[in-house]
Amino acid sequence: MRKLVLAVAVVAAGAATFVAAPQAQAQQYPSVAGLTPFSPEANFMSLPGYLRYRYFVTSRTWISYEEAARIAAGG
Amino acid sequence: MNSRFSFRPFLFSLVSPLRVPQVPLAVAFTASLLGFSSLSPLPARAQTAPATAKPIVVNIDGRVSSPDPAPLLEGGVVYVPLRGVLENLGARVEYFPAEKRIEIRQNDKTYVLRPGIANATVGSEILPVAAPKLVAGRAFVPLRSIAELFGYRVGWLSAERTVAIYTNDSIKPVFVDHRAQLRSGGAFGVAIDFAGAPLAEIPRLLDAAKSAGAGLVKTRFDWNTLQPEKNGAFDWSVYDAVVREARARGLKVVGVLGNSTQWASVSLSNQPDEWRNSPPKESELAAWSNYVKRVVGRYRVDVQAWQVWENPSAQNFRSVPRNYRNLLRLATEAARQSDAKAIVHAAEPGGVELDFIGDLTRNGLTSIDGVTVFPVAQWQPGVANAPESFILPYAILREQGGRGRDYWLGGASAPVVELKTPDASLTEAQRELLVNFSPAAQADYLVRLFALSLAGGREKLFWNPLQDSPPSASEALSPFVAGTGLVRSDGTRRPAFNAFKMMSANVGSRPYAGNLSFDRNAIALLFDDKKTGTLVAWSPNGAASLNLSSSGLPDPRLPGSTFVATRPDSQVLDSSGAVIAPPDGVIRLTQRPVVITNVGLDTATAAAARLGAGGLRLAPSGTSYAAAQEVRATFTSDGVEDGLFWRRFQNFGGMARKFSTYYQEQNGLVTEAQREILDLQSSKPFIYLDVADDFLFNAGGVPVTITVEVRRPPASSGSSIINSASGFRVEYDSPTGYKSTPFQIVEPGEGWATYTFAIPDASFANAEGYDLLINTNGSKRNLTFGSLAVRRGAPSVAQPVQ
Repeated sequence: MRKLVLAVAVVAAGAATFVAAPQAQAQQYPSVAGLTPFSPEANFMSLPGYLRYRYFVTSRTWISYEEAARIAAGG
Repeated sequence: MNSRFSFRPFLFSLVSPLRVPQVPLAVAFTASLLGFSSLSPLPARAQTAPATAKPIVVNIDGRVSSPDPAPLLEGGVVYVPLRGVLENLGARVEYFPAEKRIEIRQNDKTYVLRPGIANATVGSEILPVAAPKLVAGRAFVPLRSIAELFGYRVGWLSAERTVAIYTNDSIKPVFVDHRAQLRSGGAFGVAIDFAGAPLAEIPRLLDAAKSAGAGLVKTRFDWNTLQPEKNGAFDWSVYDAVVREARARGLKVVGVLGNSTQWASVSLSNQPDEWRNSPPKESELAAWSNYVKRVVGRYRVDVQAWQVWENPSAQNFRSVPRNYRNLLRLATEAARQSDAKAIVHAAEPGGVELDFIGDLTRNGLTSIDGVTVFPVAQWQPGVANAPESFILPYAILREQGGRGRDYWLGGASAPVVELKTPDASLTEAQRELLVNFSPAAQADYLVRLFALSLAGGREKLFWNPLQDSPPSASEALSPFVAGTGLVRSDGTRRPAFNAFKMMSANVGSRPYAGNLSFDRNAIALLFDDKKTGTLVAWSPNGAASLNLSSSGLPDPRLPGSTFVATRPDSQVLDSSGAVIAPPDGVIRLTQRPVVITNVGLDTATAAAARLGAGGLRLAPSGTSYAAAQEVRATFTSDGVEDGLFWRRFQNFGGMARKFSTYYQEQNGLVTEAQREILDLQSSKPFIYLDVADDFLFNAGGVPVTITVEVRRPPASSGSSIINSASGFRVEYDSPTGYKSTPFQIVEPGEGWATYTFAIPDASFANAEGYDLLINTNGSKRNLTFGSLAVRRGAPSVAQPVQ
């Protein structure tokens, strides 16, 4: 049985965030194509770093730098 | 030969022949029985087989024989010799010519048939059967009579000129008609992941699926379980057991192809989540094709459809869409090499993403049989999404998705959070969590989503998963139990299990037959098989009522109430199947659905009058933007959302929440730059927006002009532009994913600035729940946004473009 990775985190501000899997998800990786690394448009980050950060903001999930680098390179 | 026969009269006569080819009735009836290939069309006139045709043979439970006389094919009907076939099945057959009586004895029962008479006498019972006939003094019966009398599975394999008879459901047939198998499985299924499960668990899980009322089971034929070593032999033990146990329970299997093995994965990580959910590397694509070919080949009669990867969102397919399409193409080719009639489906990344689905066709993937969709209960973690969000995408799939394509619901899921033991020391946030994600809420969600999906044309619906996985060590220590299954990890059932069962019994087998109401006040959907009808109703905005009456009197037309004709035996149920009201009286509708069984004929007639040919769409309420040239939003606490909506995104990640407080001046919404370098959530750099769907939705790449009003930041003395630069870009949903305008610097100064952007290819299909995003990442200072407008077409000459 696929392992359920489930975390319930209560943020100090009182709002609750909830990440549950497996369940149908819709987030996809943000596109960093055409961005200049370390520029304002990339939040002064490397492209893999910005991709990781942007994905975390919408999914509450971190991907590894290796994954982000591969995806940023189109793989 | 096994002489134990099960007698199930009319079992197979209940199978609906809705989609069988247009062939004579007896042949069509036979074709609709389980497990056999479609028949070739036959001429209507009676004819005997030409002398040069190969004799018809009989295959009984896999053993082929050539009875003498051979079966006949006349007028499109297959007749088998009574004595030659039934004696091979262990029966004793006698013909009494003087009385024109045929007597068959088996298992202490005596069946009496007469040539030309369309019934059989069994003891004191008379059963209608197709009439036997005499040919040259030998008695023949239509093949389907064998099924009618003895409950066998029978079929006519025209290409092979073979009559196939199976006496035992657990015997695997040689050929299958996948579509017929899928029809017999019904509309509802559950997803179960058997990878890593002990073999002893397989029967228990399938029993639970059966108890829930599922006719279909979807499971991944996990590559890493099948071939854990590179170039290694395949270990079929788990999935041989799965298909065998599923067959024994009459469950039809849908397979998922994937995921990666550790040795093939492009990810070098040792974390299973990472290597499993990453695609195979390019050098192992041949191994991927080989895996597909081997799996489909081995299970081609056991598995009725194949889906390539499950819900390939970012978390589940850690690569770009181009690589998914490549895997899909390879898998489709490999599957068809093993089974020319394999049904192959793509899967979309989640949220019923129309652009992704359209992209499959634009990239030449036209030989697939359909795309499995995954409507989500949460666009982002903790942000609930109503099932009504998918009404419009469903309608577009129905109208534009391509004739004959499947768009099944691949995995509905909704999370539940429960307390293990009562605990008085809960925080406010934890209490809210328990209410918003309660077991009852999950059951309600299931009923609403399933009803809308069936009415919207989704022919098969799967809930994922059937049962929660065992908790991890850290989860075991938590005071909460959380999951998405119909059954908890300890085997106890959630109310959604009963909801699934109730829907399967009352709705799944009945086609959508119209509605009494379909707007934001009330949704009331009828499912009717022309014998009985079930109404599923709720109110999206909580402001409606139903007036039930079993008296047979006409609609009294109570204002604000929808009339439902019921019968004295109608039941009014909640999502879990509990009776909540009598079949008479007024019921106030809330967002919690009610299910009314056995509705009266008047209601069936009224609903049928509203059954349209096209996709089902919510009746418009409020202002229509279909003819508007522009939609606009103003970002103040009381700002107007004139066809452009932002308030609904308040819980989305990074959404700006603060309003400026300039005294006696224009105010706006403030995006906040990151202050704490180690706290990424300290910034609120985004404003999400949704364009009114009747203004533009799934537009396919049309030009629009976006105008943004933003307050100039004050000039800061002594700072370099690098340390104080402010700016933003606008991201928008295009046919190929979210795209961005260039970064727009906002020059410091006094007052407000207006910037105009020419977007050449807007789609606005709500890909991840939104159409537009103001993104101020990279801005060193907070920015205050006053308004945003979207206008159709390219900018006019008067509007300078950035």
